[in-house]
Amino acid sequence: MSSSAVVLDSNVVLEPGSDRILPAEGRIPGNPAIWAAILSEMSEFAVMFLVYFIAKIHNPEIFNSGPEQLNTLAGTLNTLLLISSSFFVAKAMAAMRNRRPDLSAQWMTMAVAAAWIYLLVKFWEYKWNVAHGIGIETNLFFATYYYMTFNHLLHVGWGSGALIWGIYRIRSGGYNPEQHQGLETIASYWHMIDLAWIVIFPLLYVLR
Amino acid sequence: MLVTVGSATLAESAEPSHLITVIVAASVAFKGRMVMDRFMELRNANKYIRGSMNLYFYVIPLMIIFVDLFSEQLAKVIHL
Repeated sequence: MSSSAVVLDSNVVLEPGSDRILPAEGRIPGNPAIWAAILSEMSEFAVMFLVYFIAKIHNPEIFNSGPEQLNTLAGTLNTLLLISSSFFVAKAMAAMRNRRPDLSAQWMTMAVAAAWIYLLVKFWEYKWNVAHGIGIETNLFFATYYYMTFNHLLHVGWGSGALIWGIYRIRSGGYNPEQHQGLETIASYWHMIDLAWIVIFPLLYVLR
Repeated sequence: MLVTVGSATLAESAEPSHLITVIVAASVAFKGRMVMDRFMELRNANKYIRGSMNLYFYVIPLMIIFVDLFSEQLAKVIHL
């Protein structure tokens, strides 16, 4: 980024020669507190992944046969939904910087819709599991599966609550193109939820 | 999106192998990096935050490969 960029806020600058607002070089996206939370959450998920790896090396047969008993379509749909919702949130950020708060709120609404469809797909998947005799006590692979996916589901649930709060703040004029740290904080947290699923999906549904 | 659909296709059709595991690990690293760079906008963010997040998506894919390649050896030295 050019050194002649006009600094509007600690997080955004005005691009030289245009009216485009861009993220500032070296900034902390959102605020420092959310990064303490994000890194803590990522560490929590890392512990789950470690548990998965250790359980897998001691029970290779169970962990190699487990994924083929799961509903790959549900896992794939949920991956596509979470990536889409992350994209929608990124578009909402761009719209806010481009001085289009109404469009930003619309993108955020689409992100919430994707999150809620994710939750519906997950409940349908759990019902499908029960119908196929898959429960938390079936074996160690499925215990790990429920441990990871239910924990992640909770994150999607309360994360979508944060997205709704973001929509309310946009609609009530709480953010503007120069000052939207709160929206960026919500966006960063939401992307973290997507990142966790990017690891969970192949571990549980793909690797055999 | 394409990487996700590709992973699902692999899961449903391909025979398990070390090559498949490496491809899956690479897809995790790639998708993680894309989300961090494009959506989270970490590419020009604070270097410590960027470094921590990037490290995560180097370590986890490497662990996926290590667990697949050295499963028996790891089981001898790591206990539940």
